Amino acid sequence: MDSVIDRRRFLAAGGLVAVAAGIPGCGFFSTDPGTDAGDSSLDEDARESPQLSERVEKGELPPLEQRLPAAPMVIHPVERAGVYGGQWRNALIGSSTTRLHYTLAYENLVRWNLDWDELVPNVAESFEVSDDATRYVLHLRAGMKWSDGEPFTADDIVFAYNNIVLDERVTPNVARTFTSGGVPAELERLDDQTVAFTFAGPQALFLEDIASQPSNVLTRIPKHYFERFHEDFNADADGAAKDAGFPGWIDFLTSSTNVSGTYWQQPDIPRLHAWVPTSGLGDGQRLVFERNPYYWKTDPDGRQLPYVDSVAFDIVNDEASLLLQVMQGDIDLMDRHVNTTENRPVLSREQEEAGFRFFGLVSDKINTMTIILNLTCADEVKREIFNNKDFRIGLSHAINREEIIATVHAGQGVPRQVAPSEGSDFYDEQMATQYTEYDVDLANEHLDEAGYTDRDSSGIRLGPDGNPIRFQIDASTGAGKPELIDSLELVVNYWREVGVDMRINPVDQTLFAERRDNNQNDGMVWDGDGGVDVMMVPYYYVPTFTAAGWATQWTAWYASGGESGETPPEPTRRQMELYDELKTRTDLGERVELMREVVAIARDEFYLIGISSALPGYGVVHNRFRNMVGETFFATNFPYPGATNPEQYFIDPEST
Amino acid sequence: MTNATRSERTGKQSAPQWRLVWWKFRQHRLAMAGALVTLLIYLVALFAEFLAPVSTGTFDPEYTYAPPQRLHLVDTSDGWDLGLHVYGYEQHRDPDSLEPSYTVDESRTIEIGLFVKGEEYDLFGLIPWDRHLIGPKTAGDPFYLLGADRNGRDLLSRIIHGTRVSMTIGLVGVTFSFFLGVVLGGISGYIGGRADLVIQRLVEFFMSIPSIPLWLGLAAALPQTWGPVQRYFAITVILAMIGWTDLARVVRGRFLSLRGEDFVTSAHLDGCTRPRVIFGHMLPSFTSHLIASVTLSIPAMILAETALSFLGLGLQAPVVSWGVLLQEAQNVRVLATAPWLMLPGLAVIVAVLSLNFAGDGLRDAADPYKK
Amino acid sequence: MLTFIGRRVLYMIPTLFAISVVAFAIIQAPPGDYLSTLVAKLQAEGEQVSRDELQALEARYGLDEPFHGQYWKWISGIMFRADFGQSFQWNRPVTDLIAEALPLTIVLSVTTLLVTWLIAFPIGLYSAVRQYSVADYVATTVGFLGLAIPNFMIALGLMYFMHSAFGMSVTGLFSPEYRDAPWNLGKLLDLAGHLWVPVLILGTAGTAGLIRVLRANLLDELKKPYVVAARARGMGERRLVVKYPVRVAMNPFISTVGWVLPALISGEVIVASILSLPTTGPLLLNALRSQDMYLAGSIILIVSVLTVIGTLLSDVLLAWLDPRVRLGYR
Repeated sequence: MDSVIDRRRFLAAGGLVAVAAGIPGCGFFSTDPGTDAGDSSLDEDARESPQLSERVEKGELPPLEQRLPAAPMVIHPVERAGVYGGQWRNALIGSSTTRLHYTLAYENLVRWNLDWDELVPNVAESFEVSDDATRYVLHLRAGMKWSDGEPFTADDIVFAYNNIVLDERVTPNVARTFTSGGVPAELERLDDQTVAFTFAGPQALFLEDIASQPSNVLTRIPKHYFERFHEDFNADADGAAKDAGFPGWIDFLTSSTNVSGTYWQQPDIPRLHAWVPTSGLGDGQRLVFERNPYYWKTDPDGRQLPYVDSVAFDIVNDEASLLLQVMQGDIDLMDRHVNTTENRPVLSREQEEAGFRFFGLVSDKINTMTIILNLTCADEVKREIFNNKDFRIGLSHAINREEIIATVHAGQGVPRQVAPSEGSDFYDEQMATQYTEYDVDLANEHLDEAGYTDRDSSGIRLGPDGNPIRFQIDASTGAGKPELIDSLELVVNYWREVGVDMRINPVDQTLFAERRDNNQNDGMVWDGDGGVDVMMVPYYYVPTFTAAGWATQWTAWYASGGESGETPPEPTRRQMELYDELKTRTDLGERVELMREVVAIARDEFYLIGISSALPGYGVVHNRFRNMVGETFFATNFPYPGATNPEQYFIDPEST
Repeated sequence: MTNATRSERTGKQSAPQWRLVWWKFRQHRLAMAGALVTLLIYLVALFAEFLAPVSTGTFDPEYTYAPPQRLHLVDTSDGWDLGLHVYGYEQHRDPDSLEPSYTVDESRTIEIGLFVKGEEYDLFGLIPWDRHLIGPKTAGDPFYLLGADRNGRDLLSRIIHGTRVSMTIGLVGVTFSFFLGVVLGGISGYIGGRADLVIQRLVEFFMSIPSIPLWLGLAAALPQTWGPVQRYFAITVILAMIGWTDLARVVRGRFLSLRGEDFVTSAHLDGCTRPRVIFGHMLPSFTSHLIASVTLSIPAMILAETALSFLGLGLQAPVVSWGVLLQEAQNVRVLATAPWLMLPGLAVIVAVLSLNFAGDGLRDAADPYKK
Repeated sequence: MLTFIGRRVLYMIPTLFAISVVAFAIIQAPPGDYLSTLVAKLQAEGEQVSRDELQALEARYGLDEPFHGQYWKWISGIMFRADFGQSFQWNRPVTDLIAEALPLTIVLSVTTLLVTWLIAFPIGLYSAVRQYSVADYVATTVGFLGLAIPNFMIALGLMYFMHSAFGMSVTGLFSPEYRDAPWNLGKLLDLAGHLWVPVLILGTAGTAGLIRVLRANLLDELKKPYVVAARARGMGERRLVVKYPVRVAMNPFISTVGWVLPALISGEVIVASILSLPTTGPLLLNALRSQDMYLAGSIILIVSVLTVIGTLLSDVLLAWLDPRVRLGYR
């Protein structure tokens, strides 16, 4: 660790030069930062962190047996049992707190297993589902406690559901997870440790939905803390909210129960997470979390988790400075922002010296670039052209995918359409490879067949209205995906060759989304999700969600139950029916079968044009940081790294 | 100032003012050099298609991040052979880091010629031609004097093409701000009174708002349906909107001080009309100052364009400007593995430096009667 | 004199009003609002957002109100309660955020200003006295070089250089262990150890500008008859230059000191963002980008007001020195 000494000395030298003017004040001469980094404990028999034993001895905390639930959840470490101690060095870019939910707050009633193919109990000890997928009974853990030592019971779930989720004053709309056919489920409290949700109709994806959220609302709202801010429980709720610095009780609740609100700013909210904040975000340039003494998970030896004492997030403004911190070995685990293909060479170079390793990320991306022609385009002529399947096939054949792969993706990947990934249950070779062959003659043949044989003087084909076929494809500039524009620039030339005039419209991410949601674009490019998680993220196969954006009017029709938007064509309607049907089946096999049908129709319809298979991702983990899995998933519905059990990570004292 | 105007009346017969300025300007060697380089840069902008070996979009997957090639004059592989050439590259890609590395392949000689046939283009958008000042004799052979970018595009060609946008954005922008500055500053200084009051508040207002948010707001307010050309135009206007205040203050100050001068009063008494007094007598007396101010504000605009691009608000690829090129290069990967991509920065530095020298010299020389 | 000041203060009112409206409008100009920007950003990062939760926030933020309603809410809060509103992205009062960032910003700005002066003054003086000498050329070239290199290039380059050559990170104003620590000698040394980087980068541009202005002003002054007269009377060359011409040459600085502030803030934005400094620049840039309107609007407003006041002060100072200016405003 010579570099550390170098750096200190360097800083001190710089400091002396810059201060020069002298040293002000007295009582000031200490150079101790005053922050305790925490020492690792090598005592492998201890069943709790020495920090906590100390507090137990002093009488500040009850003994471990009283803090753990009757049946703690047992976590099997990835490599080996760890030692207590140390600080997990992490970083956030700007004020965005979403990474906190993904990293520290994945404690829902149920969770995904590491292989992302099975639901496992978490806060709930077990659960039962009725055959018709309308009733869910969840059993909680007896003796489980919030981080302030108060018991966690069925009442907390009931409060969170009835008084937060269903209270229109606090949450104007009920989340889709909790509804079936627009009707919210009813919650019964069966006893102290048991609750039951009953839906009006089948809602087979209820638990999958909960497991897929980075931080579900039901298990983060302690009734004993929040009830005094709720008018139904405290007549002077407004007064309590005002004391806490909010204009009224509704403001207090919407804001502090909301993970995008002040949830992370209020360190005094009790939690079920492995680490709890010591100060609010924005109080400094750093956010520190310390262990929750009442955490309810242990390793197989019955030692209370987490192993790591504290988690510190540095708040940085810029990706470049975060990257340098990682290159310096100052970050223990980084799974966002800097782990791009672009940065891989620089990180590889520093790997040895900084002492970190890579872990794999299996991407749920559906393609490297999905070219979306807006099938419900506001312009009637363009819409007619885009809906012509021969036109889309022609455009697909005109693209030299191998060249794009070599140029933009460093030779990684193979030509692919928008289709389930090779490792997925739904992989269909025909769908993945149809029309991917680069053949200009064939492309021209299809475009001729589509009926656009006439061309203008510059060789551009004429559309049905006699005007040259000319349209704009939106590409987002603010999304950190420059490869989309690079690829699209090549596509412009390929399409030009076959007489189609496409132009790139680079727009900011916000406007990109706005144009998409309001059906204002001709088309757009995006990478798209659902390559692996086909069933939960079906919207690049069937237009059920606006963010996919390739037929927003059909999506609107679907979402409104046929009241607004436009009626989709027959095959698309059939897909939507099949998907609705799928949501009523509790049997996984049946659901897979139905989804296969949905995907098959997508294959035959060939809605979207793809380029190549999604690139594998990677993350960076420091060598002293152990028990991180070698490979995990990069997907919206798999909240990682939370899903890899951060509580069992530990810092190897020998490698620091 | 009184000195200057007195000698103006006496010196006018011997040599016109521009000649005096020129004499004075020539003395300043750095300024002369600056002016020369500036002129060269504008020539590059004018003949970009001819000077650049290839167009901005020409790419080659085999040469992504290829480092600059060395230009050789003598080929010793087969005795002594005189002739410009470079050697080909062989690409290896590290399977783990995905980093491409290149070894010089001396067995593959690529002959380089002057005035070679290459990609076709329209010079000045009018004359179809296919000759390029320098390039491989066999069109399509790899030729990367300044290296290649992430898509295997020739950086030299991109810098040359970028010159046009970057250098004209300054010119066009300055034209706008010149117009605004002279008109508003003139009204303010000459008419004074209420007009002056309003315009001064306006100047104060524009100067009080930090420029970055002003850029952000204005750039974001551009209609997104606009094409690259319209955006380019709009961005120059935005830069001008911010840049005119300085000039307006200068012009106002000049008018204020000239208003009381004898020659202006006598022109009035001679019965000259107002426009004639302004354009015939007052403006010419400080034209050289204006030119100097203008020259000095072009580099500021060039820098502003790069800053705008850095923030992701300026021009967008596929348009090529120095700012756009720098924006593509502003990451750690480039610094670590492909530092030549920072070369557009050098172009910016050279341009800004020479314009500054030229402008500075011009300002020193603007008052030729000053000793 | 009093009427002059009074009139000037009166003129400030419409200017300030216009600034406040524009500051607010600038943030509203881009499409969407804070929440749609947030949603778009999260989608771009592949993170899921609960639309229901966001809709709950929308009402709380009052984003569904019309422009004038939001403006009034903001400006009335400032005028009557000194309340600048709440920052959406940090979920904290704007006043707190600015109060945290401003002291460090001022430390940075003042240090930069001092360093710039310390370097620029002797160079400018020298190159004016020895016009067209080799040293003059070298000094101006070096100065201009600082002006010509885009700040962000220096910042990125320096950051990478310090990393690869010394294995140190120059980002931030404090090392991680001192970020939350109370003030003591260690923290002060740590600050000084980090401060020189942004000061150096920001100083390069300022120095060049200052050298140029000082040189030009001094050149004008040195040719004035009184200097010639003094020289003829055998006054020492050093005293001759420093005693009067330098003082007069400084005058323009006083009159433009009001503009220094916004220039420093703007110049600082990009550099401070790259270096992740906890100053107002990055705070403003982030706020603008995420359309955190009360925070962004308030920072712009505060900087602008300070500028207007600075201008007023320097105008008053000039008017006091030079009666002609007073008349000019009539």
